[in-house]
Amino acid sequence: MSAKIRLGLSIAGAIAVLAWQPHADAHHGGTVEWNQEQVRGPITGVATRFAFQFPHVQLFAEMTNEHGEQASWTLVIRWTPTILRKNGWSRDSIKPGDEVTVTYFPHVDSPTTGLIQSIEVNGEPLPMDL
Amino acid sequence: MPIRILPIVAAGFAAGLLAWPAAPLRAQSAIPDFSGHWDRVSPIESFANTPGATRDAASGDQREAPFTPAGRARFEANKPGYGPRRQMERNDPMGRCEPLGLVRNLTTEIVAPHATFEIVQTPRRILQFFEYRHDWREIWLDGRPLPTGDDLYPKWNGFSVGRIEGDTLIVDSVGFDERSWLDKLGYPHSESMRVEERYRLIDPETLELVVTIVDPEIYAEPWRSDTKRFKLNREKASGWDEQIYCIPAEEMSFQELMGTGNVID
Repeated sequence: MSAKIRLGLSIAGAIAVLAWQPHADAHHGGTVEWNQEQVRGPITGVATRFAFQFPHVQLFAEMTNEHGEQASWTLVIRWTPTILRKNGWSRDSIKPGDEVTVTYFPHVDSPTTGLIQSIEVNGEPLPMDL
Repeated sequence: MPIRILPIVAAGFAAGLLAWPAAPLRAQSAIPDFSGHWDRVSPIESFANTPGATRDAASGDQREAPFTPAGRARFEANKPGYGPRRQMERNDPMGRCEPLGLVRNLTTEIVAPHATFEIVQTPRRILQFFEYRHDWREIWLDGRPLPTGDDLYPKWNGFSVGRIEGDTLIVDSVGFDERSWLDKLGYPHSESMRVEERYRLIDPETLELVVTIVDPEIYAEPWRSDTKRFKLNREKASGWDEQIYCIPAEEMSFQELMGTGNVID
C-alpha cells in the first residue's frame, strides 16, 4: 500500500474518531466492546464473505495485521444496510476475493475483531463517515 | 331509464360511496388525524429522563425511578449494554431477539432513521407500527372496556383502548409480559403494569408523547416519562418499508462475536 493511501486512511480514521458519538451505534452497546482510544491500521487483506444484514453489517476477511501476522478477521460496520444503501453501498459492494484495507477500533477482548472506521475496496474508498 | 340498467347505476353509486376518501369525513367531524410516519427528534432514548442516564444532562426534567425494594432488585438483575450501568456481560432481551414490548417500542430507542413509528388511524381502531423489529399494536377506539378476569393475560404489547379528547389521543393499556424491559437501560416492569400514553398534536407536523406507568410491584408511585417529541416524515410515508426483523441465527452469532454472554438459555 502506498504512503499516500496510508496517509489518506489515517486522516479518514482520525475524522471518524472525531465524528464518533457513542449513541450513533444501534443496539449492541457500542461504547463497551470497542477500544476507542486510538484508531488502528490500516491493515490489508482479502475478503471471504460480506454479510449485508441487520443490525450490523459484517465483513469476514483474511487480514494481515500491523505486525505482519495473518488471521481470519471479523470486521463490523456500525451502520445498518438501510443507512449504507442511502450512501451508495449495496450487498455487492464487497465480494469474496476483493482486496480490503481498513482502519478500525479493536475489540476489547478479541484481537481479530474490529469496528471499521474507514475502508478501501480494491483501492477505492467506500463512504463510512455517514 | 330502462329497468335493466338500474343495477348498473346502483352498483356505480355504491362503488362511489366506497371510494369516498376517509380524510374529508374525518375533517368534517373535527377528529384530529394522528396518521403518518413519526420520527423521534427528542434526544432521550430511554423511558424517562433519569439522572446520569441521558445525554441531555442539562434538562430540568430529571427524576430517579421510584423503585420499590422488589423493583430495585429486578433492576439490578438486569444487565444493560447502555447507560451508566453498561457492561460487557449483559442479559438484554433485545440481544436474544425477544420482542421489545410496548413501552420499549414507544421509546424508539434506535438511532435514526430507525427511530420511528407509523400510525394508521381508522374510525374504530388505530394501528401503530414500529419499524425496528417490524412489530405492531392495535388501539381500539370503539368504547370497549379493557379486558378483565380470564380475558386478561400477558402479551408483549398488551391490550389497548383509546379515546380522543381535543388534540390529544389518550391510550390505556394492560396485560404485559414482564420479560420485556421499559428501555435499553434495563428498567423492569411486572405483569400488572398499566400504561397510559398521551399523544398530543402540537401542529400537523409535530407530535408529543408522555407515557405514565402504574406498577406498584416495581414502582412505589406512578412513573412518568419525559416528553418525547416526534416530527412527521412525509418522505418515509411514500417509501418502501424496511422490514427490520431480528434473525436469531444472525443476532446470536453477533452476540457471540461481541462476547456479551447474552445467550438463549
